[in-house]
Amino acid sequence: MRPLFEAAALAVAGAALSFLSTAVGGRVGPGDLPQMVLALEAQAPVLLWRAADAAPRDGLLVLDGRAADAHRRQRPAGAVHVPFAARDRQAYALPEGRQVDAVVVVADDPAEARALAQWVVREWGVTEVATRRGGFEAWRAAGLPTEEGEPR
Amino acid sequence: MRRAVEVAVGLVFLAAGALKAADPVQAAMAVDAYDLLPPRAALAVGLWLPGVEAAVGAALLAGWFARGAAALAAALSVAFLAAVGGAAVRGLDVQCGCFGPLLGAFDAGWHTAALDLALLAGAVYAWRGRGGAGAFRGAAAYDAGPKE
Repeated sequence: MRPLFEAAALAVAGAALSFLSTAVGGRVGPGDLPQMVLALEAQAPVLLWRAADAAPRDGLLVLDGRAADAHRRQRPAGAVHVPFAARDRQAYALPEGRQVDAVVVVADDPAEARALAQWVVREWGVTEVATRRGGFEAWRAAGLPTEEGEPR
Repeated sequence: MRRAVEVAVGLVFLAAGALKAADPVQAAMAVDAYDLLPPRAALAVGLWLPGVEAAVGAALLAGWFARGAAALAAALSVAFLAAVGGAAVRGLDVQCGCFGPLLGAFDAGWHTAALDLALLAGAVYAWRGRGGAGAFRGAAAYDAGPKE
């Protein structure tokens, strides 16, 4: 039984250590907790898309979060541009008259892609949102359709 | 050899705990992203985990509570493996969060599962070296101690 007591003692010591390190550092106090729970509840899980999920179909919207010039040069076919760097993303609404039940996000950086995906969940209310490491490179590597030139 | 394994596993846990403790809020969000626990529980785990990892790492390094530390390290590795494997099976796009913000840029995937497996193997090896399951049957093995 002794190892169990030792493990329990370590777990308690660790909890004390956690408490001390956060309290002494002054980074997180008990007053911050309700705010943090609200922030976490607003998070939604982000999926990883596979080539079959991202194939063009009705109800699937591809969202390009890259810079404007990269979007103009080449982009996933039919992709809508919502730049990650946009100061006011509120201005980007779900395209009118389109039934969207799933969104694939293509961005330069995995963290940016996830942030955009979270934004889609919050603002557009679409819950099937997927990203992938490699962004547009992964899109091309999967042999999915692209288009070039001025966006329509 | 057993000591070397303990030190290696201890260093990994200590680094993971210390780097997470540098930003506990980020750690809680990383736990939440795995979508295994309700937000409140994820928050509690995220705030509690850094200290426990640091304590386990320090105990393994120093040789205190050696069997308890090895057992707890093994249990934590199993939990991490379940979280990473579950995320892979469900097709979730999550960051590992293993080493806090400094090394947090890498995503959870098969390499993370491999690291967890290595940690688990190391912890089990260290536990067996310290008397293993015999410790649960009686204190004789513990009091006699293993041969260095």
